[in-house]
Amino acid sequence: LAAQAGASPQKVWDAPTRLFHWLLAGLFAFSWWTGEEGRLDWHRWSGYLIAGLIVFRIYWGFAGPETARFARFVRGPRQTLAYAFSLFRPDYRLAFGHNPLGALSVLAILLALIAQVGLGLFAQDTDTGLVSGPLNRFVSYETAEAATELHEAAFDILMILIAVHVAAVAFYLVVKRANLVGPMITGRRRRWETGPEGGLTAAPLWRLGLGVLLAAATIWLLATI
Amino acid sequence: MTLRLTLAGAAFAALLAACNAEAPDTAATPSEVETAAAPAEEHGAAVAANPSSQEIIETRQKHLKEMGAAMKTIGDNLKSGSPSLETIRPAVATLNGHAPNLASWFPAGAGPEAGVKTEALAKIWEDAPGFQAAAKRYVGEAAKLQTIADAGDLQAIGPQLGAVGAACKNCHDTYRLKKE
Repeated sequence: LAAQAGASPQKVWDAPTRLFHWLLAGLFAFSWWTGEEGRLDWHRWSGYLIAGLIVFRIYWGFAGPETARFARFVRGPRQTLAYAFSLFRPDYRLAFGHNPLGALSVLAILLALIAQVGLGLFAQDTDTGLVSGPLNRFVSYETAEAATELHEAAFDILMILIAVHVAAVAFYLVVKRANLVGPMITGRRRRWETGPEGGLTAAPLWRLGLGVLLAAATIWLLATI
Repeated sequence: MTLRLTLAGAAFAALLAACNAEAPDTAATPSEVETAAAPAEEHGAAVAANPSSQEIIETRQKHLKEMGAAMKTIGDNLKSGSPSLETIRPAVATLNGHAPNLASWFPAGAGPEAGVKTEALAKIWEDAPGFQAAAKRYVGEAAKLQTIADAGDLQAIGPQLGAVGAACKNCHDTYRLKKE
């Protein structure tokens, strides 16, 4: 069924991309919980941090190493369909990094997160009227109310996208016998005859530094508006 | 394999559904509802004679939104860096003016059993003393805010606005339907 995986590990995800992924997962859960519990002071901070992560990930999609780059993994409809049809062929090879279908998932989740955080900036605290988004005071009560409702609706869309993402990971684990979670933790996987022989080449440290600065500036800006 | 996938999917669906398990309480029994019936005569403007449950609920929502908007007006004004009493005072008048009528916007029958979209929980009528106490706390905090606004003490408005907001939240936490 699956291609024979070699014994020597191959680096596929760099540390910043992995850290981004798990910080995002953790903060998303934290935002969910604080939103449910009405802990909007924490919810707001969580949103600022997620905004910082989004800015970093977009930047990293252009400045990061190969498997983090949008241009490297976003594919057109033809190649995406070709990948989908190849899934059950005997010569199937696990992609090095995001496969074309996973790329759609990455883009959809990123876009939904941008909408979610963007709406949250204008949303208002309907419990006390005081712990509202940082841009709430620049819009009317009615506009803010609409933003708040959309903020709640967009959450459902995100949950659906995350369910699809988790289901896809389960599919690869059960059907394709490929553990995608491990490499997202360790950065390494067994070789699948795809990708460069020596594995992923990390991006220069100064680029990472610039990305962290961009993220920090975003968080600072939102916290001080 | 298919079965394992199905099970994984079902488990995830259950996880998702768990956050939607916020069903409103069952309606109060008539005897419990009786105890919460507040005198509607004191405030002619709030509730008209024999209005339908729908009218009561719509009027209540309109007033509560006015209060929410007033909170926002004051909060925004304080955050703007140049607070002005001309902006703050009318909003405070809204918050304090509605305060004594607040509890009476919840007469018996104007809860979830009315069949109108409302976030008012049946607990308002089941736990009438608790609800009255929560309303009373708001009345007290709004009155203090009024005193401060009358005195023109801009420095004290912010902290007291926080106390008013906490009184809002105190009641919402127990007696308002949580969004999923």
